[in-house]
Amino acid sequence: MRHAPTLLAKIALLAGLCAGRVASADDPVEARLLTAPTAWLPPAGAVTASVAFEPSVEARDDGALIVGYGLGGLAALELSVDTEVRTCTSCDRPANARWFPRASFRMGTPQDTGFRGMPALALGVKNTFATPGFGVFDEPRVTEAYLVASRDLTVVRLHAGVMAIAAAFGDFELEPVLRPIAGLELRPPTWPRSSFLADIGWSTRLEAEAEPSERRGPRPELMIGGGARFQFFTWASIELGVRFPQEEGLAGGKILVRLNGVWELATPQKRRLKLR
Amino acid sequence: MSRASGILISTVMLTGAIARAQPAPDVPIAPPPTPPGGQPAAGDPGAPPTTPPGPDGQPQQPPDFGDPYAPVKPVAEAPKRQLPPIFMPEVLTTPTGWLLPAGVIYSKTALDTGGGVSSDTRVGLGDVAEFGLASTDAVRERDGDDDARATRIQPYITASFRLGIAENRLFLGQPGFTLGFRKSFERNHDNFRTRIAELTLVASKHFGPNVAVHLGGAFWDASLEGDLDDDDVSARREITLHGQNDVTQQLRAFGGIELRPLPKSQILVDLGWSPEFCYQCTAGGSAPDVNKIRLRPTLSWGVRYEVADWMRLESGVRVPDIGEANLLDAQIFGQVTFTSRALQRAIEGLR
Repeated sequence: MRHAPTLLAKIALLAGLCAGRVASADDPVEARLLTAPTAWLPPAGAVTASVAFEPSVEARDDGALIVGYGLGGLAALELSVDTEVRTCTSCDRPANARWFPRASFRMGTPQDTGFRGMPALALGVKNTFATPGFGVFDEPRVTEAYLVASRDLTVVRLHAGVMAIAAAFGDFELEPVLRPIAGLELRPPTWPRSSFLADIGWSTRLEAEAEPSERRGPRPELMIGGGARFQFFTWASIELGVRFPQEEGLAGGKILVRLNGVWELATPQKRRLKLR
Repeated sequence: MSRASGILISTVMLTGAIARAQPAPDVPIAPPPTPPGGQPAAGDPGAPPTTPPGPDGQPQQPPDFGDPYAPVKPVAEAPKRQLPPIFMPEVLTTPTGWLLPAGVIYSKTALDTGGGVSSDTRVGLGDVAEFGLASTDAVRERDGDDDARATRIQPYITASFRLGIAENRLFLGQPGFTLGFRKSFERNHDNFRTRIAELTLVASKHFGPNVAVHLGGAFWDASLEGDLDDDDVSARREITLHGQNDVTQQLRAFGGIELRPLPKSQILVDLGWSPEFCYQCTAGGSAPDVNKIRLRPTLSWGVRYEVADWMRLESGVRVPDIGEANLLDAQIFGQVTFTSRALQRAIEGLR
C-alpha cells in the first residue's frame, strides 16, 4: 500500500513527460508547412510571427497574419487572421476569400522525449472567433482539432497526423469529420539554408448555393501544396509555394509567399534563435 | 598704577602655579590606584563612564571609540521566516484543496474566443481560510428546446469563502482539504432572474514535487424566476434545483491533475461542472421543469507558465459541454494570474 502513491507518481510523471518536456534547443520551431500543422513548439517566452500573401489569378486577396507565443516550452498560443476558410454561393466558380480571426492552442512534446527515436507530438485546437456574419453565412464557425507527429531525420523531416474538422453557419452544421494530414521536408546538405516542402492539409468551404442545390453547408476541402523555404537570417525565413484546393484543381492554384520570424524574449542573452 | 601692577603680578603667579601643576606632554600618566576588589570606585574620575541599564536590567555596552581601523564584526541579522509556497486555488476551472497563505492576494483575469471575460480576486486569511469575489462566464442560458446553442450570462458576480487544512498539517501524507461555498448575486437577464450556489469539498495531494491530483465533490443549487412556460399566459414563477427533489441532480464529482515537466511550466487538466438555464424548455415530459436547470460537464486542458514569482500565464482549451462532444463550442482561453505577498510581508513586519 505504501508503494501505491510512489507508483502513481511515477506513472503520472511519465505521462507528463510524454505529454510535454523542455523544448529541445535543436527542435525546429515552424508551426506549419504550407497548410498542414507540425508538432514543433517554440521555446518558452518566444514570440513568433508570420505574414503570408497569396495572390491568385482571381486576385482574391488571400493571406494571413499570425502572431504566436511560446508558453513554458510546453505549448504555444497563436492569434491570427487568415483566409483559410472560404465561402461560395456559386460553387462552380472559385470560392471567395474571407478574413476570419482565429486562435490556436497547441501543446505537446519535442522529439526523443520518451525514448530515442520518438517523434515530436502535438495536440492542437484552432477555432474562429468574433466572426461577423455576412449574407447567408450567419454566425460562421470553424474548429479544427488535430494530433500530429513530426520527426527530424536530418535530410528529411516527416509529419503525419489526423485532424477533426467541425463547422457551422446559419442552420447548417458539419459534424466533426476526421481527415489525415501529412507533410515532407527535404533538406539537401549542399544547401543548408534551404528546404523543399510538400504537404496535404485541409481547409473549410462554406457553401450556400440556392435550393435545390445540394451544395449547402460546410465541407472540408483537401489542400495540396508544394514549395521551398529559405532561411535568410538565423531568426527569419521565407517560404514560396503553390497550393491547390481540391475543388478548384490546378487552375485554381494559389501562389504563397510567407515570411516567418521568431524572437526569444525570455532569455535576453539569446536574442536570436536558429530556425534551422 | 601700583594697583594695576599688583593685579598683573598676581595673575602671572597664579597661571604659573597652575602650569606647573600639569605634567609635561611626554611624561606618562600613572593609572589611578584601583581600590581593593579590582573594581573602580563609583564616581572615580578614572573609572569608565557608567551607562544606564537597558530595558532588561543589564547594563548596556558602552560605545567603542577604539581603533577606527579594526575589522568590523559582521552584523548577524535575525533569520527571516520562510514564507510558505503559493499553491493555486484553482486548477483551470475547478477548485483545489489548497488555500492561499495568509495575507496573499490573488487576482486572475481571463479571456477566451467565445467572448468570455472573467476575473477572480481572493485573499488568504490566516492560513486556514480564503475569501474571494469573482465574475464568472461559466453560467449559460438557452431560450427553449429549439435554441440549440447556449450563450453565456456574463458578468455573473459571485462571492466565495473557503476554509481548510493545509497539506501535511495533521500528519505526513495528509492531503490538503478545503470546504468551499460560492454563491452568486442575483442576476436579472432578459427578464429572468437567476442565482447559483455551490458547496464543494476538495482534497489535493502532491505525489512528489511534479505531480498533484485533485478530487472533490460539489453540491449545487440554483434558482430561476420568470415566465417559464411557453404559452400565451404571462405568469412568473420560480423553480429551484433543490425543488426537483432529486439529490443526484445536485451532486457532482470533479477533479483535476497537475504535472510539472519543467520547473516553471505545468500541464493542467480538469473536469468541472457549470449550470445551464433553459428558460422555456419543456422536454422533461412529466416533469417539464427538470431541463430548465441543468449541470453541464466542462473539460479543460492547458499549460501554466510561471513568468515570475508574482505572475503566471495560462492558456488552453475549454469545452463547455463535453457531454455532447461539441467541438464547435471549444474555446481557447488565455489568462494571467498575479499573486502579491505585499500584505503578507506587512503582516510579518508587524510581528
